[in-house]
Amino acid sequence: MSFNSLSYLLYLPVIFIIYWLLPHRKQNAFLLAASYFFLGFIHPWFALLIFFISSANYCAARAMQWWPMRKKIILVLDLVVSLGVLAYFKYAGFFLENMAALLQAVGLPSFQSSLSIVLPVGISFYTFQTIAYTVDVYREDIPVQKNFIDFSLFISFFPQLVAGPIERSRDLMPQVEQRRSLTPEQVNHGLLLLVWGFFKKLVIADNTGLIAYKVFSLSDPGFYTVWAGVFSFAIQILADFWSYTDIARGSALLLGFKLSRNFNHPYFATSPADFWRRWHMSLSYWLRDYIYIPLGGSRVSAGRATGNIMLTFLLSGLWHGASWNFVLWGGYHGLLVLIHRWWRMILNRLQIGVPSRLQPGIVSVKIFLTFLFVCIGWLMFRVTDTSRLLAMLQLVPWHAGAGDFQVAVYLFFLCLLYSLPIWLHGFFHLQWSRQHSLDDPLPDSILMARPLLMAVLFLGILLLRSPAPSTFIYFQF
Amino acid sequence: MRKLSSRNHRLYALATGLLGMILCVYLPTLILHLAIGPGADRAKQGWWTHFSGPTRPLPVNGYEVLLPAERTIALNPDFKQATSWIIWFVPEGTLYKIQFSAEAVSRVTLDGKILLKAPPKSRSRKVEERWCRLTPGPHLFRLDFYNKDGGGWFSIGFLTPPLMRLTALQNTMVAMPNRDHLETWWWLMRLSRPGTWFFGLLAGFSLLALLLPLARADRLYATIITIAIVAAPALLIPDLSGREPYIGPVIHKKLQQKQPRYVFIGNSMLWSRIDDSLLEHLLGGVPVYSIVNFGGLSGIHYLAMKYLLIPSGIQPKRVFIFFRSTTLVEPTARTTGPYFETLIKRITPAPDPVFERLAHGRETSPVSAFQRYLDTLFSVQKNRKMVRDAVGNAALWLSIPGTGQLRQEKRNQLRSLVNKHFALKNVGAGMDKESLRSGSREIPDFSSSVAKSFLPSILELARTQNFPLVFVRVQERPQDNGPVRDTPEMKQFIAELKDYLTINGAVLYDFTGDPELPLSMYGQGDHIEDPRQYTPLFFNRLHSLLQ
Repeated sequence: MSFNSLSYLLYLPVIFIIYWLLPHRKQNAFLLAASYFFLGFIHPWFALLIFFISSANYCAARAMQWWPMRKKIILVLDLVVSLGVLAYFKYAGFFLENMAALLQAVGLPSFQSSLSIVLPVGISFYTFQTIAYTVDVYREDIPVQKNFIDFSLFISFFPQLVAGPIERSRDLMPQVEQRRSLTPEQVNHGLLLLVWGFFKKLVIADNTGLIAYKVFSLSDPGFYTVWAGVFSFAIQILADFWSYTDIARGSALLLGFKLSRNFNHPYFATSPADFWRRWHMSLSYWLRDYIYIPLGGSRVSAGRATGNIMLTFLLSGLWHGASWNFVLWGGYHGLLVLIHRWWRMILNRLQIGVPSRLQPGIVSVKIFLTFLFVCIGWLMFRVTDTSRLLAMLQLVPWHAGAGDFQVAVYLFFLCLLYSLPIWLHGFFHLQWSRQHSLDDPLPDSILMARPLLMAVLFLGILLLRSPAPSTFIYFQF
Repeated sequence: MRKLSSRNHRLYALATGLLGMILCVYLPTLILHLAIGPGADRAKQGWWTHFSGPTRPLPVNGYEVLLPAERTIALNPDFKQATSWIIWFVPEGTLYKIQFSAEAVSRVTLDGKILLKAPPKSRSRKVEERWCRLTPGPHLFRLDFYNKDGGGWFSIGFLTPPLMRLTALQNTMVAMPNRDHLETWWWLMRLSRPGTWFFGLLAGFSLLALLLPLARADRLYATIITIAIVAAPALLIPDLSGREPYIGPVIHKKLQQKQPRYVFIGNSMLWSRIDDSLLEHLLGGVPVYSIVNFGGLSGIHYLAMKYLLIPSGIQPKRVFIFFRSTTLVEPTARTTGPYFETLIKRITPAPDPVFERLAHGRETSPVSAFQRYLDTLFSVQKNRKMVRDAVGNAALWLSIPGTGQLRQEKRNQLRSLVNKHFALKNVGAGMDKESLRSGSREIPDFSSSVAKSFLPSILELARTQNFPLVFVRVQERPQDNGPVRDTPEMKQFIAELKDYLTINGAVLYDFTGDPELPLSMYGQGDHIEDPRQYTPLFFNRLHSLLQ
């Protein structure tokens, strides 16, 4: 069941009503059944797979508790099972395909790779969530969850099941265990998140996605058209993934859960590292805590720290999809972070300072440059065919066809108009964040205008939604 | 969370809320205004006519000039269609006879109900008339006018008993709705939507309740009312979208005049293959007629047969339906989206139950029923195309800002440039093009999919009308200069299709693999470059069926 389907609009209120009529313990069992139904609605086998992974991790954690002396072996075994399932469903085809190509390239007898495996929805997200849980139990950062229903619900909680956020046990598990309550404020905030999420998906992501789709379907697009298409895709992927998170957070809030933020206006980032602190935050923190820091982080030699960053980003790329363009995209971002780090080191050594009156201008330039480099990365992300990607990267403006620039300008403005609410929200946030933190309560004047904002957004959905709705991009990961 | 209870907060809430409501109602108005343009610009957009008679301001404050003193109203010749609304202030309640005549396909809707259609069904009549009892006060006329050659005229008048003197609707009696005026909004909403009182009450209640949730955001009832407020502005917006006029009468008239012996139904595959006049020549003057609906597949062919061919009353010797690959058993293919929604409305007088069930899964699915309910509840959605067009126009304006004729021409040029840029021929090879062309290429299982397709309904229609049917499968574009060869799965599919058609008294002719259809004959995609090359081949191959 997809969030942007009418089925979900019927499903959520039904779940909401039954859920709040039940006592706490039954609520969890009911939510678990609802989550399995949610996943089974897409394909019944997907529910069976998540049951298997949940059982394996539950057993592993309990085993660590029973045999603390052997917890390292249990952890390794559990990681083999979790990563093995992920590797089989997500990477087996890719691995065999490349193995066959490699054998052929070195002149050895090769084989025809025809393995076709359906990727279970959300597997990358819930596998990482289970790994984080087992590792935390191993580190004794969190207690072992003894109740299987509670544990399964933590893994398969339907709002965040398909595309995150990847929740940590320390944040979500207490909410699963505790008695939850519903306040009008929660409902109001949840509804606003839902309406804003649907607006971002149906109006912004689907409309800009249509433009990107048309551009990247062209056999021979010109320089300017390609970059207008990249701009459209940049908006599409942000609105698409962010909308999913908002709908997930809104749905969870209606059920009394508070999920973590996954985005913080990433296109207002002032550096590549800052971008990753704002984009898909739950994955960034996961990679930091379970890969980068265990590898030694930055508290090692310069060469090894460089290697750690590159490895983390390459894995991040590979997590997104079994394709070389994703690996390239990850490597590109790793390189951006490294270059920016070296650049800062040079500036610090030269002790070059910026007068305070120039600061706002410098920040704007930083935001613009970061966005520009991120967009180059999106081209790698969008174009899966490597030869086509290289051809697009080699395009130059002086060979652009007649009218290419004009068409690109039109596409740029069209995207800008559809995405205007996201930019306005970003500018407002930028102003707000100068004096406040993310968790500070909003002023009364804004809170009071919330129904008005919802009404405008709702009207926008009715009038501006795309005629060609698409599935969420991150469903494929 | 701070409590919102102070007097100032309440006042602020009231101001914000009212501002929001006004904004919500006026936002689409402003967009529509940008898209359509006020007053004289409206004629340029093809929305309304240039009037043949003198005009003068109406005595009603805020309304625009509408109808001339003369009866006849001409449509701007540059445009093929116009849709407009008139509020007629009926002076006294009595039985009126509405008289309407038009050169092309038109319809008049009065207070949401279809009143008259033109041209009249009977060829001997020139005007269409209908009696109706009207109460005094405002009534909403909607006029949908369509003429495929562009331009045209219509006139509308009324006869009042007992003298039955014909009076043209004049600008002293009617008003063109000016969407900037709040009173017009009220009338438009009242007159254009069914169940107005219910929605009006709901919206009014929400308006009155506006203060509560804003001042008491921490109360449960506030949440419920918030939901009502979210929905209220959308409920307040009238349905301004005109229904596409049904082109059936024009086709019926042409079919009746021509009395073709062979009728062809299809999409651009047919259009690029059969030249009617050449085929008539080859047949020694036997008349033929092609009903082409561009982009349409089996669902559209079914509608074309049911609403364009059968009501004409002609009895052709054979009906040929052109199709490609497996599309005959794909009922949902190419039945959704703005283009097909418009096309379907043009070829059907009212929603077809079989089509709704097979193409949209309506009737059976509760989700579809919910969708239909939402569509009725929020009929503002029907204005989507206009609003989306306005966003496109705004992007054009931002690309080439400024006013004046020259700037407008440049914007029109840019629009054409964008359309050319994204033409199908520029789409890259591979999956994208395939998906743009005909969706998934996976071959469906014939036996399990035929029952859910339009094929049984098409055959049933032909049986009841005694039309011998011939299904012509066109050859897709050859990959090289050799003949096209089907995969074993496709061969199996076609064999099962052929058996099914034979059992049901129809004929299948398959052009796939024909050695006289080389790549050089093809133009764009699966289309033939010149129908005059293909028509003789068709004549030779199907000679026995054309005797």
